[in-house]
Amino acid sequence: MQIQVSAERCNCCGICADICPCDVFRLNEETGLAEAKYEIDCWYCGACELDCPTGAIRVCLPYLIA
Amino acid sequence: MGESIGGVDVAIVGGGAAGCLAAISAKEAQPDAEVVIVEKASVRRGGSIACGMDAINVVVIPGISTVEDLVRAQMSAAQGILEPAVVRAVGEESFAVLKDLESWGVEFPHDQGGQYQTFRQWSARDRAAAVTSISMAGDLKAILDRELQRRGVRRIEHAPVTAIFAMEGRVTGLSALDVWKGKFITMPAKSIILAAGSGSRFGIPETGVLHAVFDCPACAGDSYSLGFRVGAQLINMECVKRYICVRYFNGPGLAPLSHGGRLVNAFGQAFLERTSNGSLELSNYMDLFSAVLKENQEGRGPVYIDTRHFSPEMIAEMERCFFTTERPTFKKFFEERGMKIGRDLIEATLSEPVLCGGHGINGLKVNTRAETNVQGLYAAGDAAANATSLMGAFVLGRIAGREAARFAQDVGPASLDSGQVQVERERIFSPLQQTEGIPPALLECKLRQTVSNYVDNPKSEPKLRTAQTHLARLRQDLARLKATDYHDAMKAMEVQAILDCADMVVAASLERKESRWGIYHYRADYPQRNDEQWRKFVVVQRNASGHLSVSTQPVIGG
Repeated sequence: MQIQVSAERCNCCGICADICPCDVFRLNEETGLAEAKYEIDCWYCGACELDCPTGAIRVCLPYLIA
Repeated sequence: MGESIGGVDVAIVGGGAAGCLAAISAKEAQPDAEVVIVEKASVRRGGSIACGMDAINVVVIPGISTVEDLVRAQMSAAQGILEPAVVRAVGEESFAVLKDLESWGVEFPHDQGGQYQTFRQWSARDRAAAVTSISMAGDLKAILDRELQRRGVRRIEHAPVTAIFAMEGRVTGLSALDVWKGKFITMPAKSIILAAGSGSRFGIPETGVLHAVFDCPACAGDSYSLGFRVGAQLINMECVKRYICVRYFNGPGLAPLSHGGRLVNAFGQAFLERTSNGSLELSNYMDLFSAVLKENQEGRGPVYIDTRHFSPEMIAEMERCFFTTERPTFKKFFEERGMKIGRDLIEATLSEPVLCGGHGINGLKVNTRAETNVQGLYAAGDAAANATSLMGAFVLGRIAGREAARFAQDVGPASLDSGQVQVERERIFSPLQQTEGIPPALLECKLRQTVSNYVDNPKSEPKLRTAQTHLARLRQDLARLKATDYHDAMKAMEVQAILDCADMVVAASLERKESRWGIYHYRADYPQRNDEQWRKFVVVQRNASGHLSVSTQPVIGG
């Protein structure tokens, strides 16, 4: 996965979903945890990683770029 | 499901730098005005560059540079095809904007002598001291966000604007799609400011990753398409940019060069002349892109950015600039590839073709009051053709906000035409009602491949005519778009915006029968620059019958 969300660290606040310029994240309807539902639309700007208050998100570069 | 939002005086499309400054200035001009920002993502990180910028280019700083320096430099960079009065208007307010930003908490570091820390982007023969950049620190968008809240600016987020409506040449309001709730929003508005960025998804990147683009991919040409569809005039659409980039990452490559880095070819030869103080000696910095292309075409590529002579301080400065402010994941890219600034050659190349209003000169035609030709419609930032990057976005935003608020005060309430709204609603929801069809990403891929194949340089009449044939087929395919959810419906809207941009670029490129701006508009069938006939704007506009029309207009005061 290009965007990893730690289930242990995610506090379900939704900030990542709110701030992502490309609308990548949603909160899972059952667990409430953040998930990169539209990962293919990631621009790897890193804003989610910066703004996540619990450090739960890690953005990796797509294989074609890394 | 739908919602109508009434009572809006100033609706601002896009919450980037220009949109935020517009909202603040509208509220300052008319504190009681209802000012709303409608943003595709969030104001907090929305805009061309999610994580901010480390510097502002083209600033007029008393004692260092003058407004006339700026006008001369920008006119020269645009090779005469820019409205000098608009550049002058930006120059005249830029220092006041800088002071406003400073009072809100944006830091502009000072040197040991107490002067602002500035640097020259280019000191070429015909560019003046005004091409001064100023270092900037602080979380710009967080600061602007706070200022908006303080002033009671309303915001509607996660809601891309789908259309701007007008009746008898005057704006009446807009519609947006709330992508999270699947809600169609209609908003009558007395005035509208278009500030939804540039067209970063245009040609296809060599990695094949559709979002591997220079500017934020959410800026998919929405401004140009929204303006075009409501009858606004656009200029310089034939001037298609390609950036010098760190290869594969598509991240900025110019910064190390403006700080003394060298461009070398595969044989280690520096292929650009330098002045005695080490800056690049170019008649125009667009020559740099032509030079990179030439090295590659003539078998001396790949080309590299050489920073091996940088001092430890400069290396630290470059790492700060690349890895923290503009694109934090740039650090990961360097790490993954085992590269280090100051130690390794950094492979560079040209980006795919892109439309960028800020660094480029294409976009909605505005006057010194940021007005377009549609009454009540203003444009600022990358949306407007002004070529004064972030400072231009701030200042034109400031002007647009003030003017739009005044306009709104003088006109009666706005109301939307229900027929127009119904047609638009059907356009947005139809991809969601298809049982089978083409996924938006697939159509986008084919469209952007077409742009790279036929609209990129060298341009020629046969190539551009072929592009028209392909683009017409793709337009028919729009009816077959199938969206799986509201996020996907937004992607379908974006594909249509990119297609509108492609149509405009092809038409404008066919019209300008000369070559200008280096590789930005090189016609193989008209390889020479022809100032006598072509020192004028090519204007594209949708006419009353819904067709694209092309005309030319003189450059006033050029």
